[in-house]
Amino acid sequence: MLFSRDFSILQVVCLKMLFRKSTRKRFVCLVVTFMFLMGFNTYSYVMTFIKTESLKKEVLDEKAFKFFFIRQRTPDDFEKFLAGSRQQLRELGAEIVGKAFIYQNNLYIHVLAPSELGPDPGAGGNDAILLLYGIFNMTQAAREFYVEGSGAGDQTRVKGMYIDYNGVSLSKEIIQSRQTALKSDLADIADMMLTDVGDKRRDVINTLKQRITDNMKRAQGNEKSEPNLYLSRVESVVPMNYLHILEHLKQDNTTDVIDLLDSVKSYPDSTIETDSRYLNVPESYLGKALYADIDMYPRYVPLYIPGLLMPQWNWLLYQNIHINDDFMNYINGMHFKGHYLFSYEKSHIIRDRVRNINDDIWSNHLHFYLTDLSMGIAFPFMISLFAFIHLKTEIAFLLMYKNRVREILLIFWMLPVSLMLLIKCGVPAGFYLFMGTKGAPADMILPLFVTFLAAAAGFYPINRWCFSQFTGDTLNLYALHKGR
Amino acid sequence: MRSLFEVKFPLVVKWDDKFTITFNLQKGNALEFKGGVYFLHGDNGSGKTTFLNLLALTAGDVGKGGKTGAGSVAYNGEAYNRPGFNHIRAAELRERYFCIFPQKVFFLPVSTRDNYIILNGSDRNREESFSLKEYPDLLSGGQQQKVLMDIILDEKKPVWFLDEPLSNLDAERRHYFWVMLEKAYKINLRTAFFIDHWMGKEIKNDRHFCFYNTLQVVTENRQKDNVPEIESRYIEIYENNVPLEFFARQIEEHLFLKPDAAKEMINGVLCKGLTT
Repeated sequence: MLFSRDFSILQVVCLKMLFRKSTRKRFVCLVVTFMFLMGFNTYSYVMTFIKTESLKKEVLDEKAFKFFFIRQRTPDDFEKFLAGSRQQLRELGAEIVGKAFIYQNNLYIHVLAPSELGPDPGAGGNDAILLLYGIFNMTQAAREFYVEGSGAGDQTRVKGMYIDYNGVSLSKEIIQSRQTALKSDLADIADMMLTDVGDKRRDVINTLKQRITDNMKRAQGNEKSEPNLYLSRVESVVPMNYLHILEHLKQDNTTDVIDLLDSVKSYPDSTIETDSRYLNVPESYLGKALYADIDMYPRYVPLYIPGLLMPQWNWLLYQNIHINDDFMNYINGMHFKGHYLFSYEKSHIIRDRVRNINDDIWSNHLHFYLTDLSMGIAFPFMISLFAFIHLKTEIAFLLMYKNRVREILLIFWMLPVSLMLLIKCGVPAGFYLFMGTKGAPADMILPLFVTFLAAAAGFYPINRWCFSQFTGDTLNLYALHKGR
Repeated sequence: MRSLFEVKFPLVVKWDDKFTITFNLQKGNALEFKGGVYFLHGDNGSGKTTFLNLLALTAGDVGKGGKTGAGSVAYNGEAYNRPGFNHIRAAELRERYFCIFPQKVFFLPVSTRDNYIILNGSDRNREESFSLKEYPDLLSGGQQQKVLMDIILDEKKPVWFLDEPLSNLDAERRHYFWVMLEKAYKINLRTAFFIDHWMGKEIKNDRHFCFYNTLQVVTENRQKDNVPEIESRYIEIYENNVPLEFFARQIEEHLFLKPDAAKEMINGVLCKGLTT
C-alpha cells in the first residue's frame, strides 16, 4: 500500500490541501514551531549528553580513583590490620598492593623486570603495579630501568636512579636537599634491615649500600605530564629493587662474604650491575603485603580497588556511575580509627563528582523524556486537529467517492511521525558529521529511538480519535459541511 | 450488470443524532428501483436529497438502520443494515457502482487534474485532459458544475445519483449533459435518479414518464420553536424504464446551434474522451 501509485497520489494531494494558500501560513507556523522546539530539545539533550559523557569518562578513567593509600602506624598495627581486614577488603573488591608504599612522601615501588612489564592478563598480580606506574608518570622510566642487553648472563645492569615526581619547577637547592634527604632515608632503611647481621657481613653490605646510594641520580618522570592532582604530595619515586638487593645480600648464605663485595658493581654511568635474582622480590616477601624487615613506619599502603566506579544501566535507559558505597564507608571508618588516608579529600571529591555527574545525567534524561514525549504527542495532536478542522469537508467529499479512510489515517499519522524521525535522525547525524563519533557513544541514540517509538505509538490512537468522524458507521456530509 | 434497489417502508433515519426522518409509502410498503430513470419531485425541504443520500450511502446510519424495525435499503440484494455492513463496505459500493453528483458543488482545494485522479481516476488517459494549473475552487458556480460533471460522471458505473445537475448550466452545457447521459446509458448506466425543480412540470406531463409512487416524509423533533410546524411533506416519484427516447428529445430541445455542427462538435469531444 505504501508504495502504490494511488497512495502516493493521495499523499501528495493531502499535502497540497494542507499547504493551500488559505491555510499555508498557519500550517507552516505550526510545523516550524514543532520542528524548532523538538529540534532544540533534541540538540540540548545531545549536547548535555556529550558533556556529561565526557565527565563520566574522565571520572571512570581516573586511575587515582582506583587507589587509596591508608596509613599504618607501626608493624603491629599493620599486622592487626591485615589479620582483621584483609578478608573484608577482598569481599568489598579491594586488594592490598604489596609491592609499593609511601613513606615520608616518597613512593617506594618495585620495578618489574622487562619480561613482566608486558600486558599479561593471566598474571593478575601486576595490574595494580602497572597502573601505579601510570599514575606516577613512570611507565617510561620503569621500562628503561633495566639497561637494555644486560640480561644475557646471570648479571643484570639497572639504572641507579630515583624518579622526581613533582619537582620539575623546583629550584636547584631544594632538589639537592631532597636528594640528600632521600639518600639518608635509604641509608637509615638499610641500617634498619641490618639488625641481626654478623659484623663481617654487615661491613660488606654497608659498603655496597654506600655504592648504591652514592650512585643514585635524579631522573625525571614524563616531563610533559603533570603530577596527579590527588597524589601531588608524593615527591619522589624510589625503585624498591635497591632494598631487595640489600635484603638478598643479607640472606644469601651460598655466596662467600668476600665474594659478596663483587656481587654489586657500580659503573660511572650511574648504573649498577648485580645478580639478576637480587633485583627480584626476596622469597620471604613473595605474595606478602608486609615487608617486615623494612621498618619504615608510619607508611601508607595502597589499596587497589579497580571496581570502585563502574558504569551501570538505569531504567531511564542510560549508563551512570555506580560507586561502591560499602567500600567508601569502610575507608571512611578506617580514617577515623587512625588509619588515615593519604588524601582524605579525595574520597569526598569522588562522591561529590559521582553524585553531580549522576544528577546531571538523570536530569538531562528526565527533562528530555518529559519534554520530548509531551511535545511528541501534543504537536502531532495539534497537527492532526489542524488537518481535521481544515480538511474535514474535503476529506468527507473524498470519502464520498473513494474508500480511503485507512490511507488517510496513515498519512496523517505518518506526517508528524516522519517530522519527528527527521529531527531525531538529523540532529545526531549532524553531530556525528561535524564533531565525529568521539565522545558520543551509541547509547545516545537509545532514548531518542525509544521516545520516538513511544510518541509514534501514543499518537496513533489520538490520530484516529481526531478523525473519528470518518471512521464511524455514519458518514454525515451534512454535519461535516456545517464546519465550512 | 444487475442494478436493483429494494426499499422497505417505513424507512426511519436518524439524522445528526438530533432528529429523525420517517419515509412512508402511500401505496404498499416496498419499492423497487430497476433500470431506467427515476425522477423525484417535491417541495423544498421535502427530503428528496435526503432520500437520495440514503440510497447512495452518503448520509444516515449506514449499518444501524435495522434497529428501527421494518425499514431497510438493499442494493443488489445487499442490505445496508445487515450485520457486518460498515463504512468501508459502504465506500466500496460507492466507489464501484455509484456516481454521485451532489447538489452542493464542491472540490478538493487542489488542481483539476488532482481532483480527477483522487475523486475518480478510472481513466488514465482522460487524466491528461485536466489542467494541472487550474484550481476549480476559484471558478464560478456554473463553471464548477461543468468541471465537476466532467470529473465525476463516469459511464462505467451503473447507478447515477443526480441532484439538481442542471441548475446553474446554460443551454449548451445542458445539451452536453443529456448527450453524456444518453451515451452512458448505452454503455453501462442502468439506473439514474434525478432531481430538478425546473423540469418538474415538464416531466409530470411527459408521456415517457409514468407516476410510480408517493413518499410521505415525517420529520420529528426538528425546528421545535417554529410554529406552525409542517407535519408531513410529499415526494412524488416518476419512472421511465425506457429513457432513450426522452434523452433524444432533450438533446434536440437543447440544441441551439446548427444540428450537424453541434453533433459533430459534441461527438468529437465525447469520442475523444471515451475512446482514449
